Amino acid sequence: MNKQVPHHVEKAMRFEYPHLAEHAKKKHPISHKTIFYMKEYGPHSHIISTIVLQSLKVLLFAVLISSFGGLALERVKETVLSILPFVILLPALNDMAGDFGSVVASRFSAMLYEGKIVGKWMNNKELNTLLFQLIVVGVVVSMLAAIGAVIISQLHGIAISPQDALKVVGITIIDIVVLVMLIFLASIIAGIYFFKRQEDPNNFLIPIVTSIADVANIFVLCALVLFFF
Amino acid sequence: MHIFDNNFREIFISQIVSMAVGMLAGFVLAFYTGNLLLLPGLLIVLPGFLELRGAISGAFSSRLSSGLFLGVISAKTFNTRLIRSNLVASFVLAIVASFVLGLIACAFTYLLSGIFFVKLILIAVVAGVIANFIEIPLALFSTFYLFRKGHDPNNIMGPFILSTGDLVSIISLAIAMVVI
Repeated sequence: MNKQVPHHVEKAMRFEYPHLAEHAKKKHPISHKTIFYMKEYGPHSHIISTIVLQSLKVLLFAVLISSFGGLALERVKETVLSILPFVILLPALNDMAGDFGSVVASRFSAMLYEGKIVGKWMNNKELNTLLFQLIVVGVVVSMLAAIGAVIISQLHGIAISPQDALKVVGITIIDIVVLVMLIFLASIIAGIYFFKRQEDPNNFLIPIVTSIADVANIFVLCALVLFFF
Repeated sequence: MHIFDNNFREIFISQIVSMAVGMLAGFVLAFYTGNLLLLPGLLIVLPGFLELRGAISGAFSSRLSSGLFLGVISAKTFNTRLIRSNLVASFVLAIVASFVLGLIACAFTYLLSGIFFVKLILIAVVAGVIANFIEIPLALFSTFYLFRKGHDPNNIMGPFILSTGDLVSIISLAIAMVVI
């Protein structure tokens, strides 16, 4: 027998009354995600201001953090820009740092929710495997990229001595290994912190860890270039 | 647990693709090293600018994917209030964030070298608008295309946006440098 749905619930289900969404959720099998989405972007919300206001804070934070990385780059620009392979590698390494940051952050958040992080995290097999996987991928891919960048530079007419080519490959590999370690440390510390505060690490870890990874990449790269060249 | 498992393969392949596109962006950047050396503060803008593209277009694509999966956005039409508002919001975000980025770079350049290079703000904003004009429609059509083909855009759009975003950002920055 069909139960009569009250008029106000029907209206709430059509999202004409966003404040009644919670009530509608109790009456009908509607997911929390749908209710949340409609509350944020439904017919009665101002979508543009909702998006702009919510995103702007995180964006400005990311812009500010990245600018510090840019500042480090600007200070050593003569050295960095004089070594063409690093100019070619810069966006790719930045990309890789961000990608690794999001992989570790999302995987560690999932592990926390699944209750896989119990006791000492250093002894966690799954975490150790992920660390080794990222180090192996990082070393292989960055080595290939560095060799590729050296070849492109040679083709571009910039002569690079074998010694400098080795330095470029070495610096790129060291940069990625240091970054993977930093990303892991940042994800674990921040992840456990937010999880203990009963907040969803998914909402915080990816922006925080990728910003840290991007800036750390530039700082580590600049430091290594200055040290070796 | 084995290290060379499915996860390893997925991460490895995605990184190879990402690295190749990133190097293409670097190759474009290499053509403009002269401008980078000549224009003060442009390297301060660069990391933030690359970050912005992924953040704005990635979030845009993610919102669209959620809407498509929830059935709030129809996969048949682009002309809805929700999509139009998302497009406007992404441009507002790009302009405001690029302006702030230019302002920060301008302030840092002044502190670093005593040069007050106001054009840096204009370069950041113009490049931000150009990059958005390319990247946002790309994100919109790709998300819809993937959804219509039965794929989950969330799994593909993240790395896709990040990689294409770098290339588009550097090309836009180069155009803005030349124009201004």
